[in-house]
Amino acid sequence: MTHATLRELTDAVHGFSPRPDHVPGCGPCGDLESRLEQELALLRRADGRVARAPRRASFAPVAFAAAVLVAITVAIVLYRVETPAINGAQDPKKEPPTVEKLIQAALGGDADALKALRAKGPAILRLLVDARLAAGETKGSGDVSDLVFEFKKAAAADSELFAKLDAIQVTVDMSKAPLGETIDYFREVSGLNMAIDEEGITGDHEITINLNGATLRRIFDLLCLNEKLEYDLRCGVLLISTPERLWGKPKAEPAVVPLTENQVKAAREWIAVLAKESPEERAKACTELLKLGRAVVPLLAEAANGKDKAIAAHCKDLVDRLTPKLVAGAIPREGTWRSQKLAKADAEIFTKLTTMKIDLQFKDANLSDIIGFLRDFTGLNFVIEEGVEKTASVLKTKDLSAAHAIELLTLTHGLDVKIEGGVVVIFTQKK
Amino acid sequence: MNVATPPDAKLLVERHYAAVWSLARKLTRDDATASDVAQETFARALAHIDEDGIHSVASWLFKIATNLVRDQHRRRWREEPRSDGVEPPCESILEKNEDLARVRRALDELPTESRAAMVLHLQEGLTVPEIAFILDITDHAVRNKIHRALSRVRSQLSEES
Repeated sequence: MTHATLRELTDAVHGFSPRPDHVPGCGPCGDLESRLEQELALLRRADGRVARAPRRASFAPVAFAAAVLVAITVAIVLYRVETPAINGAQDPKKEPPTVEKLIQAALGGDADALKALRAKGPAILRLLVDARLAAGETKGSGDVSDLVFEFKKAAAADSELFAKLDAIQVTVDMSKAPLGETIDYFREVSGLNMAIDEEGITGDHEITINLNGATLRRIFDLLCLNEKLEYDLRCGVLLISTPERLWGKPKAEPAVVPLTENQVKAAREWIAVLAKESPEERAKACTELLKLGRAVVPLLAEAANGKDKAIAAHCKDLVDRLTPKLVAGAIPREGTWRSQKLAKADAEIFTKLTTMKIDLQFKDANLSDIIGFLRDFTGLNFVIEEGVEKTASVLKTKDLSAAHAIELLTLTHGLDVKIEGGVVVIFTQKK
Repeated sequence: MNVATPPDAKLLVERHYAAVWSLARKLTRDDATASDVAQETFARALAHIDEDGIHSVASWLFKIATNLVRDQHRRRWREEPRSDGVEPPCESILEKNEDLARVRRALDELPTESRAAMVLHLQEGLTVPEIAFILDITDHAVRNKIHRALSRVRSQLSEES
């Protein structure tokens, strides 16, 4: 057993990286983690003595300074006087671009921006995925998709699946096929284990795709881009789900930049256009309002409560589109049993489950039925804890380890798995 | 270039002055200098504000303030000492729990850039990419700075005991 290093634990406690899988079942690591948490709290307390400015900010000197600088700026613009910047190193115009700006540049085909993003590593995967899905097909979306694939591969414990996605070529001609049938087809022709996250994917997805001899990677990139979905390796299979379910929510919502007076004025004018009869004009107004981002929500909310019913309906829709959706947490990468400190007999059970290969073909099956089958097949004892929701599931796998099959069955349905006293226990995930 | 009009300027100052002053105070350890830095930060921000080009106003203001403090310290800027690779046990900070003043002093004695990284992380709760943007360094360098700062604080407290 390898203990987590001090650096790994510090990273986890400070929120720089996920908690090492080893920690939950390890007493010494748990103790050190707890002390590091206390250390962090102490540092925050010690460093938090300066809370507020001692006096209310005086606006007059700043306004005066601004007025002087405005005058200088106007003079420079009008007379085009070549003057050096106040301080080149501090000129905000020369600030390095943010990750978000680099992504937008890369989506526009900027090779240097792509290089800068590659240097930042898989930590920016979630931001890349979101931007790529929002942008659709652009000049640089292919390169950004390649980078997303590269980062997924780097983060995966087993990169063999990604190598196969890159190597296997398939011809496909589907028109308005249900997502489930589409994945069944790819599973059949490729021999790879694939699954749909039933809990995460809502609504009907009808797939129309016609490609001749394309790699599975290209096909899945296109399919997911069109359906606003994503794919990654989970529980030993290629799992198709939403970005939120695969990688969780972004750590922080992007900051909302307040609207300027001119933008407020323009927003009010576009809201008035929403009452017009012409669908083209209304669509244009919607686009322009969406471009203003979440900062325009208060104005839209105000209009949504106004007297004009047509404007109110459009504004409610726009508020809905601009409001971040609350989503469930990410699917855990592994079941609790992989981080448990197992007794010898329980460790043997776990080894048996990881080495035993299994083929499953269940559709709309009850959890109890599938567990009953696994009990018969493995000869092991299984228990489903009280209160576990026994929803119907689709589970189709071929030559997958029993441990991964059980994780796929549980982790994607808000459940978890552990081994206690010689029994495999299915329980509800802790929130 | 778009220049902020007075109402925008007032809004900007009202919303962000306290946070910028607090950051400047932590980096300069002096109320009057912090006020000067905050005033200068907003003066520069108002002169350069670009309505379409700024993603996060707070991060942008923090960046200007950090750069101003860095300029003030430039003459006594020194190479940040590197960890010798042998980390003292992390308990060394906790053992001094009863004496917050010593922990504060150890934090205050960090090099300016490490101090800025720690303040932005511990007090402002910014993410690593946000701190990287403000300090003009990579995400990896931010994490390294914080690790080195922690190591240094632990060492200092350990020596004092």
